Amino acid sequence: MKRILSLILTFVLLLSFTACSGNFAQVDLKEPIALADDGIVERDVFEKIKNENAIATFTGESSEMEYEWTIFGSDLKDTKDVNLSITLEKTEKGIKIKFSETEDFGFPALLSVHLNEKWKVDSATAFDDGSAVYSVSITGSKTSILNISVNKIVAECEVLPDDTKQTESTPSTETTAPDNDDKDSSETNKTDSYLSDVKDSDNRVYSDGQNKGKDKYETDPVPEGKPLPVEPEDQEFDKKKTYTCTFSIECSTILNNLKELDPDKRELVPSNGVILAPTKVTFYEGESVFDVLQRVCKEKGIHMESSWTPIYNSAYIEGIHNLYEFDCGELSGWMYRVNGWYPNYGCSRYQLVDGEVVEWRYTCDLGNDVGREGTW
Amino acid sequence: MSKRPMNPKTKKKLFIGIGAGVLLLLLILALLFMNLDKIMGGTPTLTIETPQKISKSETEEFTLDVTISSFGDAIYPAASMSISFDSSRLEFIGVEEGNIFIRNDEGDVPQKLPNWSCNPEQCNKSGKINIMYLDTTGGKNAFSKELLAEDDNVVLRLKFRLRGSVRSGDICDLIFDDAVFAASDETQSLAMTTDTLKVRDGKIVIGE
Repeated sequence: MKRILSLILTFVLLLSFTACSGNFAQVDLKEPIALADDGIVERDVFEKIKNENAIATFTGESSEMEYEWTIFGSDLKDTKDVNLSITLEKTEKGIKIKFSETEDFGFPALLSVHLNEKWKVDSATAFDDGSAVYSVSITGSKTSILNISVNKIVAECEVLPDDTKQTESTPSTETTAPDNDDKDSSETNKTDSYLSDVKDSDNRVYSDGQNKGKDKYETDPVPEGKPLPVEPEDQEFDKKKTYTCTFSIECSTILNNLKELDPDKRELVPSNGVILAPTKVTFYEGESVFDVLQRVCKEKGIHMESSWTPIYNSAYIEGIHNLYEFDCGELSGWMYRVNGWYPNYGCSRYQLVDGEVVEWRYTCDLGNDVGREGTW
Repeated sequence: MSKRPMNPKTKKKLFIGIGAGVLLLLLILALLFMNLDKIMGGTPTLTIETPQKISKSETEEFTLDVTISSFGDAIYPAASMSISFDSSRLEFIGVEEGNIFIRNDEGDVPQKLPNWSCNPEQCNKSGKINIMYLDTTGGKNAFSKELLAEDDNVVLRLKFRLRGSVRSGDICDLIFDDAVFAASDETQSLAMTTDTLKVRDGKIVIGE
């Protein structure tokens, strides 16, 4: 009897131990996993994610901002203990991120930082000591979420908005870090409510958002902080001063609307929709988007046709690569975007400054399919 | 009647028995405590399940499950949700049925699926998916916890197609702006705004 009772007791103790330890080590990958205080996620957990080909989310908090890591099992090869903890700090212009881990994870991971407010920028870049290290996408309607694909670990970086003075990081182009002057000039971008418009150190005038009516060329008020149009007849080129910008031309929206496309034009559409991959081009001070488009197309042997539209005091791009407006439906045509913003005036009136990212995109739906908001 | 002293052996057995019983009780309590959240169900959570990475060259439509972890004790004759998405990268095609049945007033077998309404064209224009279910019978076709399965309760499925403008590395967030499961007694409704309904947003990560 004594032996039986001892056996029962041992069994119960073993069961208790197994149940408790098993429960602590058990990770439910379907639920977000809160990071421990030290932020370390053990190799076993990554092995589990890999073996189950799961999508795991690890959550943490710093400076009252929540962050989460999304890790795909399919991305994991060699696994090890990794410290996923980060420290977030709001700075004057952006967000500073300090990584606790000092070595590369050995796999790509997606970091999402939930800001507690709306950050009114279209895109951003993370800089480490002046060098662009990660491109940052920004989403969220009420509050903003910064998404960063982390492949390589740096000690710390600062996420700064891609305003007019910073270069957007693109896969096929070199990125240019903003120098100190750039930082100073972005400071001057701030609107002074006592001035009607704000002149930046790059000599470009930015809207203060106070104008309510259309200008004489039928242009609706330019949103606050965006460059005001410059009339082509007032532009002065300075060929001694050269700058660079990133230019691309693409028509991928047609791929989703092939039924609408003029059958004679099908052969013209590249399989990936890219006519000119993001390319760094040089331009002279005072040149407009149209000037640079003309030159790029000529140099690259890309067909381009435009017409002058006096009412808008600007060139109108009728066709690029022999793809014309209305070739893919009644609402189709070419649009341009600079630093993620679709200017509400013609491309001859947009004066470029150093480091801007210009995208020419073919729309099949009046811009709705390429992310243009608002009215024409 | 005189009390007879307990045999020391019996006493020992009794102590061991009591000890084992206490330990067993402790074990049960510990297990209960650790799984309390699961047992109690916790605050119902509505989740947009993040799918595996989707290739940028994917031309087929794909779906994302919207799941719910649990319901309260009430019945919910109406539900709605509003989800923001990037309409420049994603084309919203529509809503597909999930696997959660609603109460069926036409028979004993609860095998009726809810009929969600939404306007994909408008959703793509606004970048916001607005979906609604309304039981016009006043509760006979409502959601209720009895009809939930133990696991994988898919309320509905969101159907998308990638637009040609997506690039490898793009991340498309699907963010709940609002979500409600309305009960006839308003105090029992599940809503994001009152923290009676938790939400977990989803992500679509574009791969090579």
